[in-house]
Amino acid sequence: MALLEIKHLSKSYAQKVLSDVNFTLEAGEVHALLGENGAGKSTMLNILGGIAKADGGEILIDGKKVIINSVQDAKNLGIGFVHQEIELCQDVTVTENIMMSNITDSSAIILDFKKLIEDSKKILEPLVGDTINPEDKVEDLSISEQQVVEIAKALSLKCRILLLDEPTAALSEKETEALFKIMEQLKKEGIGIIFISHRMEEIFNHSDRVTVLRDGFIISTRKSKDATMQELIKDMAGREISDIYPPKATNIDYSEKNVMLKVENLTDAKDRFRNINFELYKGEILGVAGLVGAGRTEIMQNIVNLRKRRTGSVTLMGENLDKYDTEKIYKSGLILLSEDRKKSGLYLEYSIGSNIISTYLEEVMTGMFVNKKKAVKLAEGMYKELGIRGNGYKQAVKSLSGGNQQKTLLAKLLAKKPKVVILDEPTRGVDVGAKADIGNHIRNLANDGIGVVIISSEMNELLGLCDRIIMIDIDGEQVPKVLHSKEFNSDTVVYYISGAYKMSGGNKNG
Amino acid sequence: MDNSKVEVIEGKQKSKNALDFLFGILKQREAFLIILVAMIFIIMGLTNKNFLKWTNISTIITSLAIDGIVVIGMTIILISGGIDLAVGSTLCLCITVAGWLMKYAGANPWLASIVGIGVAALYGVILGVLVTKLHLTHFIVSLCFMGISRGLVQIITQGQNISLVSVLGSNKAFAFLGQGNINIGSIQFPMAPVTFIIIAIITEIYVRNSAGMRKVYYTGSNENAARYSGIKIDKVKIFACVACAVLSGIAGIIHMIRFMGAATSAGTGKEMTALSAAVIGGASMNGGRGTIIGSILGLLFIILIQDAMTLSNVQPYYQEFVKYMIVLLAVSLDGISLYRANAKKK
Repeated sequence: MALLEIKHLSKSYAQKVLSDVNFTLEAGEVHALLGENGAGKSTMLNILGGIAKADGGEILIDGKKVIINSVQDAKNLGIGFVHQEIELCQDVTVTENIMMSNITDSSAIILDFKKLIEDSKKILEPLVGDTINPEDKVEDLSISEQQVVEIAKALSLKCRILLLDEPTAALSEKETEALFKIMEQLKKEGIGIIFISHRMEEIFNHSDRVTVLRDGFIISTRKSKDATMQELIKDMAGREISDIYPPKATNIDYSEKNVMLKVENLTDAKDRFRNINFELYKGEILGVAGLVGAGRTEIMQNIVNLRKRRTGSVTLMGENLDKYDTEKIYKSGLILLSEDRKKSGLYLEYSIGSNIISTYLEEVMTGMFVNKKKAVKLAEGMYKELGIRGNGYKQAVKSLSGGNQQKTLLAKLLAKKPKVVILDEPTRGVDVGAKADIGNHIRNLANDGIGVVIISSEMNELLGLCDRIIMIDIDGEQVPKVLHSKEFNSDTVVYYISGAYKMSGGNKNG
Repeated sequence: MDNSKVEVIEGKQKSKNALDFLFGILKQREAFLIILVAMIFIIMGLTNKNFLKWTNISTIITSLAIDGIVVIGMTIILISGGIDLAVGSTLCLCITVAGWLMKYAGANPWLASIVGIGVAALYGVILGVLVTKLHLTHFIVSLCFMGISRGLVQIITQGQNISLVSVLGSNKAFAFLGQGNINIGSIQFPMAPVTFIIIAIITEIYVRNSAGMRKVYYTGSNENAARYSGIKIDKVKIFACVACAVLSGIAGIIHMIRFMGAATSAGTGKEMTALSAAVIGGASMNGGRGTIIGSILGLLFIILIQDAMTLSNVQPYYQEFVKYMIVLLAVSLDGISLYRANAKKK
């Protein structure tokens, strides 16, 4: 008998999110859930965790039908949940965050904080040793440490079923390893784990079975050791892996007259990076590789004068931008799209249409007023052109998946008719299908003569999408070598950006 | 397979410099305020011979007592992520009801006071329900009740202050709460501060240690986190509203006894004093932060500044200005330390 069995589960919001989902989880099993954003994975976990209610179907634990109407119900049934977004109380200590469920169930007038601290230490120890002080406030922790706290919080429940919604997204390699060790331990104790991740490696190495969801339907369930990457991606996206990235540019003219953006001797005022030099040529997509912390984002912010520089100059198609403020640089046609979508110019409460129109206002005005017909035509057109997947252009942006928000943002960006765009992590947290869409749009931009610079932490994206890659090593120094597409190889890139090339004298081929 | 993602999370850089040190001290809000308060005492004690006289000290602690109870309530509702702008009006409505019952209906003063506090509690429930069920903001609802409660006071009293000199004269035990003195040697220690200190100690222990109050902190700090832990956040928010209103009512009763009546203007401006004190004491308008001891120290600081200005013959016109400049400075410092914390994470 399965530990957890889901039968004919269905759920609709405005549209159907889950349709006739059947799923089992055995005791001591890690069952990975795979699917694009919006496929219904999170909704499924939310139902199990008591945050959303199912419209139909049943849930059985140990073969007995259970009803989960609230988080409390889920807790009582032994279901622990690590949410996708970090949801911690920042003003409160690590201990209290970890033991929150415990404290919630208590009615003590005077809580035994010493014991709570001890208990939380016991949970933290196997995860990270004593590197996190349980008496620190969560706001003083780094994001990855906060993610560890989030996991510890779920472990405090002594649960039988553990739901992990992208637990490794913000973790460092070491912490990720620690988490997988803990998962092994929990498996031995007979705990069943449902695990969502976009990282294929993790799924192959650390899950027993893998189920693919697409558009709310279960597409396949396989033993992880029998599954192949190609199969899984095909199930997720309904297409082959080679189709994800568009073909590279051919015959780019790397001559002086084709330089769109020229960066010379750029050095940060705070020394985050030194002596950055590169040129962007018409028609190409230039990638910037580097480890997190190497200063890639800071370089780009510096180029558009969002940070102070010590030396260096930036030229956009012959026009020197050094004396301009950011607003003027944007007006000149160089635009930076920052990695944080929610802060960078989406009106989350407004519809997709309103968001798009907000930057095209001049085109849809008749006299003083917005011409509704023109506006609708424009919004509908853009919505279709960019392949935004939702309930039409009237849907509120906040209810869209990350990929579709990113597409909306691209639509807004293009309205400004930029000459060069710098995209910082354009597909962070975005699923395979949306990655392909966005990749295609970026290639179209380049083909239309707009210069594109991309920062990405995803090696596949850099290798798949870019024509040339410049690299920043971990010391914030530019690697003297620029890779052209025929030299692309992830090992090479890692060799350079990790700084290993400095130690071995700089002789490494491919 | 390729290394599809290469990431190294930046090590936290903990560099110590003078600014870090300064903001480190600011984080220890209570200690910082104790130092400030002590400095005022030392400077004023040395430069002004009236400051340390018992009459002045007694004035300070008595006004600390009444406003202090309001501040405790305000702190609790701020921690929950809310705000109550009607604390002064609630105070006034409570004593108007209680005073009217004592004077014109011949009610027992204890019973009348409980009814008055009950009216305050009812307001708390209404505020809480409107906020949680209709998703109105604390700001708007309590702003309306600032006027509604004052209006009710005018209707009940027809604009006349209720004098309770005779009622209190015949109920010594009741009057003792706000007017009595405890003789310690040659000093007559007023009873109102004693009542306040008892309330303060009880709430301080409760707020700091109880599971119930921790839920208020969690809800104010991050509603989703609280909800995901199974906390019924609506209940918690209503509780905070009621606690704040009830404490305003209790402050009112002591105010009423002390001033031997229910003036229709009682409690005017208390919302600003309470809010300022709590914010100086480390409470946040965003919820999740604040302590009783911090807020009381914040209030003591404000009262001392005002007292020092009065004793130093600073024109009253300047006092308001200085007081709120200090509040602005306090919230700005909070803003800067928050900004610095966020900047460090990037």
